[in-house]
Amino acid sequence: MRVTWEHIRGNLWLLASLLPLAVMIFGFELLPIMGMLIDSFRTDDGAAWTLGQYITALKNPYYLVAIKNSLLISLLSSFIAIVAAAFVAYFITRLKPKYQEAVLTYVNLTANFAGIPLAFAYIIMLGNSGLFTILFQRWGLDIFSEFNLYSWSGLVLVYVYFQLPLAILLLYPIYFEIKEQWREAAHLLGASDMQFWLQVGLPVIMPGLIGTFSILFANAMGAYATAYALVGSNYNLLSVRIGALISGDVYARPHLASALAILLALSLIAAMLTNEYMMRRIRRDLK
Amino acid sequence: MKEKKALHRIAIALMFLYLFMPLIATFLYSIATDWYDTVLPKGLTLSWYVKLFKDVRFVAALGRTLFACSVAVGLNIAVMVVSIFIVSLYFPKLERYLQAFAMLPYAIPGVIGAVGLIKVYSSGPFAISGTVWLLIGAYFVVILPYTYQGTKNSMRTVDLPQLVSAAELLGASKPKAFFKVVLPNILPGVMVSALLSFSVLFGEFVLTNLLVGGYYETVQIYLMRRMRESGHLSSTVVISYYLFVFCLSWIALKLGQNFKNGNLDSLRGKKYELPHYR
Amino acid sequence: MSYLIIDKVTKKFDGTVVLNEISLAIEKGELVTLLGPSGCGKSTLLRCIAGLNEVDGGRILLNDRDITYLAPRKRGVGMVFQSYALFPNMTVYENIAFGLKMQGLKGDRIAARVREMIDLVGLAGKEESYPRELSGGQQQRVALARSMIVEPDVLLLDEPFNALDAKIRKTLQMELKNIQKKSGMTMIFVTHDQEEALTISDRIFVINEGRVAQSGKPLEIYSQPASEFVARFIGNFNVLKGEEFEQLVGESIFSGKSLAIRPEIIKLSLNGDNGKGHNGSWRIKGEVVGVFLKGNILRYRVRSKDCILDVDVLNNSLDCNLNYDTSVELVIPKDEVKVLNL
Repeated sequence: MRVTWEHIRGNLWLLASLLPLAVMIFGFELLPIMGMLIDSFRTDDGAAWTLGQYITALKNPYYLVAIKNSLLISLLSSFIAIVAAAFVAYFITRLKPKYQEAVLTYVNLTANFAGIPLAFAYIIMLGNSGLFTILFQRWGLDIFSEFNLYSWSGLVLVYVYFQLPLAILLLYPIYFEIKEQWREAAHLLGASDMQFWLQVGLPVIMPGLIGTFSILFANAMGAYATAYALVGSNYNLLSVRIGALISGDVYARPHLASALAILLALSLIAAMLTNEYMMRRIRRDLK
Repeated sequence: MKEKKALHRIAIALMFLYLFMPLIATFLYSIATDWYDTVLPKGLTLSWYVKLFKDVRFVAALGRTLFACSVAVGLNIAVMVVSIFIVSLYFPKLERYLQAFAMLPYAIPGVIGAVGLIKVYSSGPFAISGTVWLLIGAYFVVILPYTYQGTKNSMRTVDLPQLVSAAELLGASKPKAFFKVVLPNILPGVMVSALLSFSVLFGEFVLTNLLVGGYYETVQIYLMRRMRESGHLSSTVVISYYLFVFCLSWIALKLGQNFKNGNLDSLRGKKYELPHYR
Repeated sequence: MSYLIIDKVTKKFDGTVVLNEISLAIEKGELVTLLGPSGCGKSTLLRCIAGLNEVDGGRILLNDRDITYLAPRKRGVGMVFQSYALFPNMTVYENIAFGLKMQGLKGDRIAARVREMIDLVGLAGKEESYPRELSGGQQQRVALARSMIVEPDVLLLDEPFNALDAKIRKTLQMELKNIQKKSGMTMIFVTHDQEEALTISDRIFVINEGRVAQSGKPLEIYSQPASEFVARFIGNFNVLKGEEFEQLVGESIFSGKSLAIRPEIIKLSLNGDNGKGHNGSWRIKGEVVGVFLKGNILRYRVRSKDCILDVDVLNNSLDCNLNYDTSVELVIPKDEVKVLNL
C-alpha cells in the first residue's frame, strides 16, 4: 500500500487508534521474542556474540538428557493418545447426531482439566497413598501398586490424560472425509471391515493422523505446569529446565535459557509446519 | 451390526470413566474427613470448603486473580474490537499481519514467552518484572488468539461490511455506525470469547509462576503451594476452580446459542475451543 | 425359474412404506431398467438387492439362492454408484484390481484380467492415474470395470450417468449396452430418465410408489402404456379424459376412461386437403397455439375446443411452416388411441 503523506495525515486518527494494540503487541510479543533471539547468541555476561549457548544446550549432558526426555515423553504420550483417540473418535461418529454433539461437549470440558489440578488428581489416585495404589495393594496386584507416579512412566500416563481429549476433538472431523459409499463399494467387492480400513480408510485419513500427531507433540513439548506440579525439578524435562534457568536466583542463566527456548520453539515450528503440509495434502487428495 | 453398536457404546463409556475419574477422585477428597490409607474416605464433610473460603490467603489470591484477569481481558477486548473494526474497514491490507500476530501466541508455550519477557523487563527503563503489570501485559498477549477469533467470527456472522454500508447509506458516520450498530450486534459473540479468555487466564500457571511467582500470588500459585501442605484444602481449590470454569463455559455456551439464533454451526465446521494449558 | 426373483419385498423408513410388496423377475443376461420418478423406491430396491439396506419383508432369490439376509460381500452382487465411489488413494489399476485382491489372487493373475477390463471400458493408458485426475465419464468407466472384473451374478447400476453431461451420457449409454452384450452380464439399471431407459434396456420395469406399474419391452411400454401414470411418465403422451375426446369427435364411446395418444402419430393437414379415407381415423379441427423446436423434432401445440394436443413432426422442412393461429386439421388413427387402466 503506497503510503503518501496525505494518506497518513488523512488517516491519522485511525492509525492513532491502532496504537494501543501495536504497543501491546510490540512490547509483549515482538520485543521479548527478539530479545530472546539476541540473547541466545550472547555469552553469559552478555558481553560478546557466541554460539556457545547452543553448543552447551546440545552438548552438555544435563541439557541433552532434558531434551531427550521431553522428546521421549512427548512422542510416546502423543502416540498412545492418538491411537486411543482414533478408535474413540470413530466410535463417536457412529452415534446418533444429537448424541455426538453432547459427547463432544463433555470431551471439550475435560480437555480443560490439565496443569496443576491434573497433577494433583493423579497424586490422589496413584500417588504413594493414592486410592488406586491402595486398592491394587488390597487386591494383590503388586505390579500396579508398585507403579511410580513420579517417574517418566507416570509423566507419560498423566500426559496421555490431557492429550486424549485434544486428539479426539482434532480427529473427529477427519472421519467425515471418508465417504460411506467407499465402504459400501469395498464390501460389495468382497472386503471385510478390517480390509476396508487397511486398504482405503487408513490411507485416506493418514495425513490427518500425522497432522494431529504433530499438534499433540507440540502440545506435550510445551507443557510445563503439569510436569512442574508432579515432579518439580526431580525429573529432567526441557520446559521445566528452561523455567529453572530463568527463575533460579543462584543458577540463573538467561542466555542459555534463551538458546534452549529457541530450540524448543524450532521443534514446535517443525511440528506446526508438518501439520499444515498434511492438511493441505488431505484437501488436495479429496477434492 | 447391533453387537458393534454395543462395543462402540462401551468404549465411549470407558473413555468417559477414564476422563472423569480424576475429577471424581478430587471431589471425593474435597469432601472427605480423613483419607490417608484407605480406599474410600472415612467420612464426608463440607468443612474443607468452609475453611477455604475463610482462608485470608486464599481470598487474597482470588482477588488478585480476578483483578489481573479482568484487567487483561477488559483491556484486550476493548483494544481488539476497535482495532479489528478499523483494520477490516480501512486497512484491509494489514489484515494478514494482524492475524499473524494475533495467532502467534497460540503456538508459543508459556515457557518460551516467559524467557523473553523476563529478559526485556527485568532491567532497563521498564523494569516491571515481578509486578502485576508485567503479568497483565503477558496475559493480554496470551488471550489474543481467542479474542481475535471470537471477534472476527462475530463480525463475520453479522456480515460487518454490509452492516456498516447499510448504516452509512442511512446517514451514519463510520464511528457512529460502530457504536450504534456494530457494537450491540457483535457484543454477545465478543462476550463469549471474553468468558473463554477469562477461563484460560484463570488456569494459567507457567507465566504467572515464572514472571511474578511469589510476588503476586494468584489462585494457581496458591494451589501449588498448598498442594504440598494440605491435600484436602487443595482439592477444594481445584473443585471450586472447576465449578467456576464450568459456569463460565455454560454461560458462554448459552450466549453463543442465542447469538446464532439457535443455529449452531454444523458439527463439522465448528471449531471447538482448543484448550491452552501449557 | 428366473435368475433373479424379487418376491413381495417390503421396506419401511421411519414408518413410511417405500417398497410395497414389490415383485419382479429378471432373466440371466438381461439388461433391465427400473424406471420411475424420484422417491418411487427404485434406488431403495437396488440397495436391498445389494444388501446395503435390510428388507422388512419378502424374499430375494439370486441364481437359486436365497440371499435375503446375506451380508453384501456374500451375495455375488456388484454395484456402480452415482458418485463413482472410487478409492481416492489408489490408481485406476489398483481400483480395478481391488476385488481380485480381496479374493486372494496374486499379481500376474490379476494383471491379465485388469488389462482386459481396461481395454473393455476404453481406458488404455490411464492405469497409473488417480481418480482426481480423471473426468467424470472416465471415473465412471473405472467404477464399471472395478465392479465387472469380479464377475458378479448381477450388476446393479444406481443412476450411474446422472452426474455427467448430456453428450457423455449418450456415449456411455451406448458403450454400456455394448459391454453388456459382449459380456452377457445380467444388469439392473436404475434411472428416472425415460429416454435413457428406452435406449438401453432389454426390458423396463416402471416403478411407482413402491410397486411395479408396468413391465415389458421398451417398445411395448412405449406404445401400450397400461395406466395414466405410465403414459404421463414415459414419452410425451397426450393424456385426455374420455369425455373431452368425445366432445372432439362426436362419438360417445370413451365415457369414464382415460386415453393416451402419442404425439408423433397425429398427422397435421392444412384444412381439408388430405384426401385419406375417413374410416380409419378421426379428423379434428383446431388452431396452433404453440411451436417448440426440439432439435430434430418440431412440436406443435394445437387447441381444439377446450383440449390441448401436442403433435410432433420431423424437422425436415416439409411441415415446418405453420405459425400461431393457423387453422389445422388433426388426423388421428383410431387404433392409436389407447385406453388406459387407471
